[in-house]
Amino acid sequence: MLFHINATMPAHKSGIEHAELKRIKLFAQKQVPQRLVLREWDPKLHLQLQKEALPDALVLNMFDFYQRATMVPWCKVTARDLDFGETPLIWQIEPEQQRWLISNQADELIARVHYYPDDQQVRLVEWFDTQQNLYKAEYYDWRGFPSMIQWYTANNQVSGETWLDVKGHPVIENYRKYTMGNPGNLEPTHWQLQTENQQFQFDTLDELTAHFLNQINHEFWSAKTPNIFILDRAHLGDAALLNLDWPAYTVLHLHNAQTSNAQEPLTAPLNQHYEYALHNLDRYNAVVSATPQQTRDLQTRFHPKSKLWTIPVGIVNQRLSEQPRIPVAQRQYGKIVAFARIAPEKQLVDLVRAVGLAHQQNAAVSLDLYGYADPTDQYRARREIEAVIQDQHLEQVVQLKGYTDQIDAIEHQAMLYGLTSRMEGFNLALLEGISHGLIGVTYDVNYGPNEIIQDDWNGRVVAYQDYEALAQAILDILADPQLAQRYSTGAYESAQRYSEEQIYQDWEALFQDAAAFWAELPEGKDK
Amino acid sequence: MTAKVNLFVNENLYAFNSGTEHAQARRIRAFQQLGIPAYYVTRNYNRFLARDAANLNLDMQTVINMYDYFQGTQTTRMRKQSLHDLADFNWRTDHLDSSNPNFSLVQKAGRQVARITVLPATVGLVNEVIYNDRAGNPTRRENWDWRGFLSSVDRFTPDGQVQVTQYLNLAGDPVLEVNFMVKDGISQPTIWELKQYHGKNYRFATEDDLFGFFLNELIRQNDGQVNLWSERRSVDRAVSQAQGMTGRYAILHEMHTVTNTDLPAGTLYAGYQDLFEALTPAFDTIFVPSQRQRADLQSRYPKQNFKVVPDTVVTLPQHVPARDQRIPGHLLVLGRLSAEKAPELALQLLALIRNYLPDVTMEFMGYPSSPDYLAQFKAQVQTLGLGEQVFISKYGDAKQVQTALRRAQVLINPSSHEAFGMQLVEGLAAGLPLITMENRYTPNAVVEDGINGYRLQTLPFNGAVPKIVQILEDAQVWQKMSQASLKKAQAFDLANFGTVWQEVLADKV
Repeated sequence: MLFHINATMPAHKSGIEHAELKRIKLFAQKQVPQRLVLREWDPKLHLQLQKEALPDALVLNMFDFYQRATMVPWCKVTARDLDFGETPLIWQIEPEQQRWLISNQADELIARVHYYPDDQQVRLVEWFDTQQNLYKAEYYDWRGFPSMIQWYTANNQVSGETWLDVKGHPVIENYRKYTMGNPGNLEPTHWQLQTENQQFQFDTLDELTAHFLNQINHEFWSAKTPNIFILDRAHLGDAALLNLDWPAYTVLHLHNAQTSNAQEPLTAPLNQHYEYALHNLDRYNAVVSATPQQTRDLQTRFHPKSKLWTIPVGIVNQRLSEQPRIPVAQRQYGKIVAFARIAPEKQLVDLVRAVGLAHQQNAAVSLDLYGYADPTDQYRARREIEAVIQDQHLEQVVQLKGYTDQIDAIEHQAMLYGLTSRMEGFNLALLEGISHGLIGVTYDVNYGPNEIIQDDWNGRVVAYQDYEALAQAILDILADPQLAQRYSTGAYESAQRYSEEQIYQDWEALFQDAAAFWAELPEGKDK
Repeated sequence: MTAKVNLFVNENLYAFNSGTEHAQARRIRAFQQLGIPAYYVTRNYNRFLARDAANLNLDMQTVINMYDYFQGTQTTRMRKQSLHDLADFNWRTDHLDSSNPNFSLVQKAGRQVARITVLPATVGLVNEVIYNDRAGNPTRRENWDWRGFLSSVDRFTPDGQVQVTQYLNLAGDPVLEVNFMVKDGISQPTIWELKQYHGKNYRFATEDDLFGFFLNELIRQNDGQVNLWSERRSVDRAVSQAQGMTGRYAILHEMHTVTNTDLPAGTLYAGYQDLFEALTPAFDTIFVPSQRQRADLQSRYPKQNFKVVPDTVVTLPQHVPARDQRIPGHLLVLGRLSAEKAPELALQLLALIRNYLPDVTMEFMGYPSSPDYLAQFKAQVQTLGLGEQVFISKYGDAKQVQTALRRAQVLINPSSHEAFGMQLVEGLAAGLPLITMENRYTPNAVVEDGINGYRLQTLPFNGAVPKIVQILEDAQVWQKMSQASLKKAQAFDLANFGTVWQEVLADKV
């Protein structure tokens, strides 16, 4: 069994989730036995899985697993379906708050029932005692059963949580205490897991996660083929995978630069998310990065004993490859697009500056930015962009469009794709751009942009943070229709490096290595 | 004879029981022998119910406890759960330190994960498992039943108070959940949730509200053909609110006034005020153990119906030890060591008797009302110089009480505050001369002055001391009184008990 390990599958996905979903779809086509292993409790997970068209059977959430709720059909549960333990009741709706207030004849509040506005499905029931204290909050899974209870103290603090199986039996509990390390806040200091036959005590959620990973390694054990764990977010299992009690093939998958400053990969301090894993690099069976540059830098800096693999995380699917190519002449002349969160590390303000400069020379230049505004530092990234737009009077030139999923329509119309990030792990959006024939203009930035865009083949790569050079590159391309067409054709062709077949071949090589590792293990692996 | 079911309702049955529980248990056993349906119904949570019932010689099938009922564990049999094979821990990674017989510590790499306490008077059977977090704070307590199953779980607040207790069925599902909040400055239950009882949820403000619901369920299951009896004043209110039964009664086992000097209009015990001042209309009849108490109450509450039923029943022994088979000069005091039982009067009496008989001894058998009282009592023994004369035995079960009765020559009752004097009736059946402080409600049928013992006035005991010495010294006197006691005992045997009760049940119920 192959396990992809992540936290959850949120509605606002980052590149890691996009990469993972592409990989899962590719493996599904190839009939690789696999599970998406998710660690965080998420009452809306299965709604999101439905939106992603991911079957429940393909997903193994840790809480679901212990709640015996991996495969539970959706069931309509509204406030009217609940049993409040008293009759008669007085019902009062507060539509703005999306909740019902349920009281008894003595006008004592019994419960507040919060619901999802679109279908009235129960989301949360808050319970009140005879003194009108909130004493517990019962969170419902979107599928229609109580999933988790938060217990409230007399000072209205959550003192712990209990997760229930679908029959209401407690299976996971935590207990919170004040600690000197975290004064004023209650934090979980004890976790307990109750299975059918045994109980387990843990100090932390990570210890429970380690137990879980160990357990699925047992449950899916096969003497013939190794379980393969692909760790997509290091913090979820970087230590646990090194301490499994039965062997498995472990893969550390990097999705970002391994150093805090991606432009100085050999000397800069380590990216904090990967620090533990990098100190233990030798102990994973495989380390995957998405570009040859990153693999090279890992090799140079760490000389690991584990095998390094370059497997791009972007996959251009068959449908996209077979679309008719759109000539540059049919595109909107001068239209540049970028798809990215409006976040500090994306440094889009540089792209706006470059567009501002180019626009002074060529009035047709314009930029559309698509993506959520990241709230870090009170939306600093967005505010910086807005300031440049205002200073340079670019209101008609640069548009902040917000998030969209109309990628095909937009990229079939635009002409260039711009990128000025501080660091990347790959950049799926840029790959998507070239696979739509967009000409890439990018900083020479690690890792991904300077691999996906090859200077003078499918666009231009300029020196890092040289937005004047980027402006000049844009003007050069716009000034020469033949050059522009050559780059666009190059873009379509260069995308073939990331075809499904190409990427799957890379993975197959890794699978073969896993099989070889298994064959070399001494007898006794067949538990 | 009636086919109605008699539910005798009490708070609990305890490890150490007072006369109320003993009388109730005897009645249930006697009813069982007489073929009258009867159950000992209790309210309080008691993980030692099976042990305590056995100590009262009660068949668990005649005991219905509210928690046991809702937990669905009424027919669960005893199974020994050793702490060494608890499924809570992984003994391949955890260490068990069992150096103390009363508790064991579970340690993981030197850190205490849990403390397991041992069921009293067992070797290594699980009582509680108290879990600790990584800094050693208690987080959760699992409470095991005497019968060897996990019965309830407490979650602790961050400062170590109980926050919620969940009572479990055998599958481990919470069937009853009690949440605690601060009310009137102290942490106490503020909501009781009964879960999925016959498919429905119920919420209650108090344990007694739940208890009322429970009693109604028992009545309903018997199609209302129920006589409901309140045995203790703490359950009068719940019993008074039950619905649908054919009859509702209260039984008194004690004197109802604080002193015995101002009867019949004396100040009521606090516990009796609710019954007599508020709840009497709900009760069809209130039963008392003696005619005299009935008369006192009847004159005080003329509208209420009072009747007399036997407080106790005894089994007459085939063989009673002769005087010379007993310890010479050995006196027995049976009952709780507490101020209202006046055991210090027995010490005064003993000191006086010792003036005649230096070798006299006195045994006290009963549980102390508090450790403080016990210490104070022991100090008094020393002050009176009776250290060589006095023995304090532990609270005894039925067998141990019988043994004590067989080794004594005289039974002493120092309390003048009895509603009847159940222990005196035991003394009758054991063929003992009885010495009692004068008791308004202890009839001559139990102690008849000069016939089977003496009734003493307050100090200096109206010159009775030489007479008591005579009982101890003169074999003929002892023999005469012993025979008189045995004869009186016959009035309290099962046949007479059955006759009276069947009349009561046929007439009233």
